[in-house]
Amino acid sequence: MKKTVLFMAVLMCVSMSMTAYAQNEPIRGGVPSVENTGRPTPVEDTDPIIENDGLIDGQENSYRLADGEAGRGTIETPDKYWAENGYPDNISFAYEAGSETLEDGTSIAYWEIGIINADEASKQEILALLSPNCRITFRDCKYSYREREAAFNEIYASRNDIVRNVQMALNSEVVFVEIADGYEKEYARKYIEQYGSFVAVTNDITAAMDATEGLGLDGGDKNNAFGLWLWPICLVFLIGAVTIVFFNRTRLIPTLQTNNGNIVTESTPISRKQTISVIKNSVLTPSDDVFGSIMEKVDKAHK
Amino acid sequence: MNNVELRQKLTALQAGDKSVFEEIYNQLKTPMFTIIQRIMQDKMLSEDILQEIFVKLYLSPPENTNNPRAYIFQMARNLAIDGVRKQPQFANLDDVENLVYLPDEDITERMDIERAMKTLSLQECQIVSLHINGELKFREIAEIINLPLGTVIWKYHKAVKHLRSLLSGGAI
Repeated sequence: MKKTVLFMAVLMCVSMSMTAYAQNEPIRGGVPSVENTGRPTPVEDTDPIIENDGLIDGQENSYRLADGEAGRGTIETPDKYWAENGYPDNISFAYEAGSETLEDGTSIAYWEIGIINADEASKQEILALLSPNCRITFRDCKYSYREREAAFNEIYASRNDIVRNVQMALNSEVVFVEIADGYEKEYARKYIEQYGSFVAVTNDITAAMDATEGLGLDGGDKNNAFGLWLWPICLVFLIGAVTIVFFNRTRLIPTLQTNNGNIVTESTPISRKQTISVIKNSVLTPSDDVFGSIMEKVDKAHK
Repeated sequence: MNNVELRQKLTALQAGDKSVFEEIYNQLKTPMFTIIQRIMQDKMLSEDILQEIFVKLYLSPPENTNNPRAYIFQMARNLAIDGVRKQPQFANLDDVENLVYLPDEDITERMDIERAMKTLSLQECQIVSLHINGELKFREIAEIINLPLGTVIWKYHKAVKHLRSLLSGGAI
C-alpha cells in the first residue's frame, strides 16, 4: 500500500510539472478537439487499430491495415483535405488509424476510408487522389459524412437536460447521443425516424465511445490547448493505471468458499479474448434424436 | 457454413436434392440450438423450436434470399422469443427483451459461462450469441432485433465486459 501511495504521489508530481510546462508552450495547430462552434473536427490518434473487434460489422478481426492499398495521388491527409474542400457525398469518414516508418525511411500512414456503395470506380477515384504514402482500407458505409455532420450539428444545438452530449465516431459512421436515464427509448425512436439508424442513443457516451474504440468529438466547449497537454498527462495516468492493475492482478485474491468452508475455486482475471473464446466454445447441442423427429414430421407432412 | 455454401445447399434442396438437408442440419444445429436455448432456458422447448425451423426449411426452403444464414437465425430468434412470451411466468412482462434470468447474482463468485449468460438481459444475450455463436454481422443483428447499429455494438461490448467480470470471479 505504501508503495502504491508513493507511486501515485510521484505520478502526480510528474503530471503537474508536465502541465506547467505545457501551459507555457505555444498552441500548435492541427489537432483541435472541437471548435467552439460545435462543428466536428477530427482528433488525432496514433494507435493503429489492427484488430478491430466489432467496430463495424463484417470487418471485425478480418482485415489488416497493412494490407491497405497505396494511393497514387498527392493528398497526404484526406480528412483535412475534405474538411477544407467539403466531403464528397459518397464518403462517410476518413480516419488515420496509425503510421509507421519503413526500413528505407519512408513514412506510411494507414487510413480507413468509409465509403458508400463501395464500387471499384469510387475506390480508384479515391486512390488516385491520395498519396502513395497512404495505405487505404475501405469500409463499407451507408451514411455520408455530410448526413452525419448535419445530424451532429442539429442534435448539438438541441442539447438540454435530457440530450446531454453528442459525439461523432471518427472511425465508424455512428453518431452517439447521451440521453438522460428513462428517455432513451423515446429519443432512440425519434432520432431513427429523423436521421436514420446511424444515430445511437446511450446513457453513458464515454462507455459507448470506448466500446467502438472511436475517438470522440466532445460536444463541450474545450479550447484547443487543452487537448494538447492533456495527452501526456493521460499517458502518465495510463501508465499508472496499468501498473496498479498489474499489482492487483498479481496480488493474492481470496479463494471462494461455500457456506461450509469448502474451497470452490480461485478468482482469476481473464482477458477479453478469452471471454469471447469461452462463449464461442460453450456451445449447446440438441439431443441426437432431434433429426429423426424432424424427418418423421417431414414424412407426415408429405403424407 | 457461409452464406454462399448455404445458398447453394438450399438451392439444391429446393431442386429436390434431399441429401443436402442433413448436411445443412449438421452445420447449423449447434449454433442455432445454442442461441435458442440461451433465449428459452429450456432444453425440450428449444428442441421443439429447432425441429419446427428445420421442418419449415425442408418443406419450403427460402427463395431468393441473399443472406440465408441471417434469415434462418432470425427465424430461430423470433420463434424463441415467442416461446418465452408463451411461458406463463413471463406472460405479463411488458418488455421481454429486458428479461434477466439471474438478476441478483453475486459477482464475486466465479461462474461458468452458461450461468453468466443468464445474468445478461435477453436482448444482450441474443446479441452476444448471434454474433459469436451465430457468426452474424452486427448490421444483420441490428436488422433482426430492430435496433440501431451503434446500439447493438455498444450493447455487445457492454455484455462482453460484464461476462468477463463474472467469469473472472470479481478479480477484474
